[in-house]
Amino acid sequence: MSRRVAITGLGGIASTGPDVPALWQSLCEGRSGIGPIANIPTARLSVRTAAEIAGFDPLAHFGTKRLALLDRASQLALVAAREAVRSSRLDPASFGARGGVVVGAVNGQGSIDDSYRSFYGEGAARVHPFTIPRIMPSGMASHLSIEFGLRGPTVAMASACASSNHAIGHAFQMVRAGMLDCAIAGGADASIVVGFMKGWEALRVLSPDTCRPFSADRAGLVIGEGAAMFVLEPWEQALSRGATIHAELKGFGSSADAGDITAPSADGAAQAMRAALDDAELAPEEIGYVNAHGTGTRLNDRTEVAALRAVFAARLPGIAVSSTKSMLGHCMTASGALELLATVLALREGVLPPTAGFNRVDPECDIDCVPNVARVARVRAALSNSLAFGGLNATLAVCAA
Amino acid sequence: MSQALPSPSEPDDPRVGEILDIVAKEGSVDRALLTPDASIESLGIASLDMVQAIFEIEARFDVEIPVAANDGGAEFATVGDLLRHVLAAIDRQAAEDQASRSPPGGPPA
Repeated sequence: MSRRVAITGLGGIASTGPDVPALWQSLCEGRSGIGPIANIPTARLSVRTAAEIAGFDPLAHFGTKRLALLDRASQLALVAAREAVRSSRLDPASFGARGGVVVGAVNGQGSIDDSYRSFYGEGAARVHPFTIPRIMPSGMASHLSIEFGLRGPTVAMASACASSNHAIGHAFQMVRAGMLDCAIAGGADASIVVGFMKGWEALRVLSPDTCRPFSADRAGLVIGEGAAMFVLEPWEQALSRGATIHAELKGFGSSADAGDITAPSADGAAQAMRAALDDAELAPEEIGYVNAHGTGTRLNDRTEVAALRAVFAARLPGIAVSSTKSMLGHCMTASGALELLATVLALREGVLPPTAGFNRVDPECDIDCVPNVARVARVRAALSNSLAFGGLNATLAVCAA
Repeated sequence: MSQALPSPSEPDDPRVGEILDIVAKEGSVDRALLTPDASIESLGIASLDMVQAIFEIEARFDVEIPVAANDGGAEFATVGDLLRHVLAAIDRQAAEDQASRSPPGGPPA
């Protein structure tokens, strides 16, 4: 069995907005959520810049008993999934074992940090009793399954910063293959905590001020937090119930560099893009927009552009390639989900989100990166790239509905 | 890069030797190839090995070496750039330590 897959539910929350309309408006305005860190102590941080969600009040969304079980990442996941399910007008529970959840795996970073700080730093005799369920990397998948009554295949997938794309790709394959009639897929990440930030500082890839993908003066990435969730269902089912179809999820391709644990490879990235095009039965010339991994590090951006050149060759100058990390920051395991959200909305609305913070052309990244200002353009098909540490690459192909 | 910083070719600065030892070890390169003009990229030192080398240098000299993003986004183009940056950081740290031990306005009241 091979069925077309419709995206009928969208949900999102990140630094620039608490829901899909607000996020989309910020992307259209080229407005960045990157700024001075305010949610955690910064005294011992060297880099004090991130794309945080300001003013998120968990008690506006969850009761106190439920909240005690939820790491911030799971909170964001549930908020985004509620919006996605609401917008889909589906009752996921009615699908029982034909409904499933696939999300990017993420440790409950805030819960780990709190626990270890109180035990090692403050000499506490014991830690919070729900530390383990809050930390477990599949906790978010379980909470989504519990909240929406989905009883079919439910799993969290790990591929570092490509986790969401692998998760959405896996959900897509199961819906396409007839294994699921309703899937909630996406990612959520809330890793702006002191211990994790110190780890990124030590890798020396964080920008001290902002994220400028593809710009000659780019100085590194900025960590962000957020979530994006999607409801996927078979195309015919969506049509027959009169659902709003935001876009068609068309293909998924993934690859491994089998090279370096942090440095990316153009061959591996190109292979993932080609695999996604093949899977979607799209020719490179049909692609009008690519939402790049575009972290803003020297190495990622030039490698990704080399991969794009390998795939699109002489057509590359005619393809818009932007990095929404320039506005949302690098939302780690959730980045692929937030970037698919941007891609779906770009196709639906006919507006390509820009690469913010762009100053100067780098000869090694000489692409049309939609610098600083969104562009009105009707695009039929697009790719969204995630090129993770460890050389794990995943690309999603989407078409306008 | 042409700042008025300590010259890496200063033969009597023992720190230079120690820094180069660390870079040679972590980068798995012949110590003799680490001349001031040698390009770090062409020496084939992987970025992660350079991160590790800087971490070891920070530990050895008890100093924080800030990220030095230049126009190309590369931290250090040459061995000389690395040495200048590292020595400046060590000197700055030493000056700060000195200042905090003896405030310029005399002993606190």
